[in-house]
Amino acid sequence: MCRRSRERGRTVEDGGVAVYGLVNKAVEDLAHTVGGPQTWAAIRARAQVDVPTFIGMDQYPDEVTYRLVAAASEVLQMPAEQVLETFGEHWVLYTAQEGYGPLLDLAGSTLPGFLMHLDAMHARVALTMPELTPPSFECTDVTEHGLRLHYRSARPGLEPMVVGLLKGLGRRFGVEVAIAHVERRVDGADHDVFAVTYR
Amino acid sequence: MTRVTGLGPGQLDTVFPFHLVCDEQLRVRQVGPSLARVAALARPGADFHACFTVAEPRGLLLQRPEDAPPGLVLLDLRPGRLRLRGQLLAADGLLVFLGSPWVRDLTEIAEHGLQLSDFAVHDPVVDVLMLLQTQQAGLADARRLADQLQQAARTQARLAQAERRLAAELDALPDLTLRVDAAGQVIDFRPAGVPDTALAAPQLAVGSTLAEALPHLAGRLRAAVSRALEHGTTESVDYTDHQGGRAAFFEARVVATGEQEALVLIRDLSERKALEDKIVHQAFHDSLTGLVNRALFGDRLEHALTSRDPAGTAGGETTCLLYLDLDGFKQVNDTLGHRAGDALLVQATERLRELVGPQDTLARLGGDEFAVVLATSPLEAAEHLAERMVTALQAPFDVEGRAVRVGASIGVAAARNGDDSEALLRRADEAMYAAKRDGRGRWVLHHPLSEARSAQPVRWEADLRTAVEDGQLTLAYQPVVALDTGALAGFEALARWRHPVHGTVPPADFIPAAEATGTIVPLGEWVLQEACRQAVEWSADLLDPGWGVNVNLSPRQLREHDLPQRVEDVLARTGLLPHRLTLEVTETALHEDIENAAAQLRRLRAGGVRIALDDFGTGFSSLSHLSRFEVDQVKIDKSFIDGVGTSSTETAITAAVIQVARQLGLEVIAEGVESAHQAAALRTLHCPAAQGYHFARPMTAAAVEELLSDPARSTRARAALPLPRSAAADAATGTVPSQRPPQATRHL
Repeated sequence: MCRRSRERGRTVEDGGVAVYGLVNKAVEDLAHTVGGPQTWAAIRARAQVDVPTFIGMDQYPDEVTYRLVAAASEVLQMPAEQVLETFGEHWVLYTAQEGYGPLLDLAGSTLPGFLMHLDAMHARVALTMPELTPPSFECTDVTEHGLRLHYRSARPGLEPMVVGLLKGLGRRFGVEVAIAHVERRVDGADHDVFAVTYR
Repeated sequence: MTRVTGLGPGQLDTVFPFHLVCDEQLRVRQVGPSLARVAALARPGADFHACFTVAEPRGLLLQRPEDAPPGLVLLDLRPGRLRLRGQLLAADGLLVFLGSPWVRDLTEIAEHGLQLSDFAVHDPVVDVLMLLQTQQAGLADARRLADQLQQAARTQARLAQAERRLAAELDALPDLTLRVDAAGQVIDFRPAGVPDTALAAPQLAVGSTLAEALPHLAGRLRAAVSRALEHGTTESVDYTDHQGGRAAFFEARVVATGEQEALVLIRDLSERKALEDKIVHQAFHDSLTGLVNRALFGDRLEHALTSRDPAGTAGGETTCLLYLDLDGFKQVNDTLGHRAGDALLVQATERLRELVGPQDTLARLGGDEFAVVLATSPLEAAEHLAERMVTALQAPFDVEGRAVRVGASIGVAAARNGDDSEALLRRADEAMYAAKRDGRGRWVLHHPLSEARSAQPVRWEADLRTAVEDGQLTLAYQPVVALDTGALAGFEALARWRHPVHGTVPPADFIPAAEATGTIVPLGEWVLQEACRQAVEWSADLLDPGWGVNVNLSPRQLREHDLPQRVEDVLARTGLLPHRLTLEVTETALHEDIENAAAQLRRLRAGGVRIALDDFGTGFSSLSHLSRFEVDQVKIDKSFIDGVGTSSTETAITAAVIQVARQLGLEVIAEGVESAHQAAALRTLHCPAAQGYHFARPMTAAAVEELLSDPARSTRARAALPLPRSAAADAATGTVPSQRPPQATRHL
């Protein structure tokens, strides 16, 4: 199968990693929220993305998203990690809620419940988005006030986004969340592990 | 726990969280965990029909497991709205339901208190709903994209339209348009919309430099382009091109259109400049004659005065001003019309132009008034020029085929230290009026000694208000003589003003001021009162009962609506019989408001007062006035009497007036008789009465009494007994005898 997605004349071929347009739309949404249309225009220009609008179900090379994040970091004068963390939180609270709110509602009514069903939810989403390469979230050592979250992703460098997601989920379920990045793939670990406590 | 379907109870719960097992009596024996959570009544031992309603197949009588239908079954949970879809199976005497909740929207799931884990993995309903939602999101994206594309198409269309409009406007612009880069190289260009050789720029081509295309302008344009690119400003460069033997004016505007690109528009402003020059010229020149107008004249005069060397020059040169007024121009306008008047002014201007040097300024100040500024000139040169002007304007003008004669009165004034333009102009104006007074057709140099005198009219206005109350006014009386016998026939009362500081003031000076300020009304009433009083005094002892006194009425007095009553009051106070008072009015005064004047005269005559038409022939000269206005006496103006006996025209007119008056039963008096020859001629024409210097000058009341006390003198002809022309009489007139008698002056 040949996946073709046009972005500045390039294509995403078999074996490449692609992202659905809804993720890039979420970046656009965040830029509008933070700084308005001018900020988004500046980010788009700096990222050299000439796509006038992202289509949610179209696929774009991951590189586009990375460029957008890097450009946002420059335009907003924020470290890339902070941009990703902000994006993760924004994704949970606003973007995903807007389009997939009912699905999020089904995924669980508590933070640990939600995290434990996250893979199942991604599996169902993958039925609809066959090219989706979602990350995997595994919960171990679940107690009343904490768990260990094992994060596995084909996309490197997005760990700060997981922190943002967890913070956003904490706000969604009304609990205080503390996150510690206890194992890092960049440090040689098999995968990233976060120690999450909540109350 | 019942074992069904070959699955262990735990497995059955996982695979079918909404399963249900009933016994032969349809009593509930086992409930899946999710169903147990949402179906409060479905507990072991409960009756199936108490917990569920079979929605489909509708009407199914389910009383034992074997009644289970083979196909799809829909069960509605009781109570509540949750519907289950699934299949009923009868096995081993048991009724088994395997199914799951039926929802049509993801939001319904939460509304029923369900979670994703409540749905069996093999149940596709949630996945289908997600698929539908994703498709809807895709549809929304498609709609949004379509909207954006539509919007973009509209924007594109508008841009294209704007581009076409801009292109059309640029085509229509008279500008030569260039787009140049920062180095001054032409990127593209558009020729001027209006063909013009000066804007043709034959060397202009894409890729050429400004230095090649517009060599005469390149340096300044390059600088303007640099400034525009650096500061984002619009730069402007004006320049004049003298190619082709004519001066052409251009403006180049430079505006940055990019970081390294500027637009240059070059426009030919020659026509606009010519128009501006024309407007400026019109603003400072007289449209009829093309001469400098009053505004520019004032400017040049002021400039000449400020540039003048106060110490004077070795040759005694200074700034001289000639103020010229055409004599008799009003008559030309009145009789021949304004077009003829304009033609005359143009011809007069041509004659004056020939006399005035290129360094001097000839201006038309308005109407028939002209002025010449000699910025630096010996006074003699100014006098010589004035003389030549008077002479030049004496020659007849050919106006619409008629020979028209006018003349010019010119006042000459020389600048003194400290003079401003107003002072110099005033002195020249005064000198001009002196020339008028001296008989017109001449020039007069303003003399310092005459300044105090001529400056008075302004002051008269204030002093006149107290003149009557302070007794500064007196009356002089000029006798009227019967021509056939030489006997006195009456007097005309004339006002005289002896100013406490300035002495005798001529009537020609103070009467206009009195008329203008309105003090003529009380002044005229005093004259009337005094003349009537004097006539009564004389008539008691000296005056023949048939004699009377003539008193002049000013136009302003004639407009006073209560004039008849005032006259009646004066007659009542003085006791003078009305028929002995003759009020003199001029044709001009009558013409100001014909209807009102006629009514006033009728009321006065109704009271017994007599009316004389004064200065007859100088106004509108209509014989119809003699019948239209109820008058008793006609006084023929001196201008006709001057020519009686010498000019056939004046003699014929005088004869005609006398003849008409006699036929209408009117008395006739000839005014301004100054010679025996005129008196004789008038007798020949059967003119009954006359007055003038030939018979007597105006005299004081005392002189009249002296005259009247000698019956012999008062009844004899002038040939036998000359009437006095004494110093007292001269003083009474307020004039200095001159070789040339003054023009008839209208005065009280």
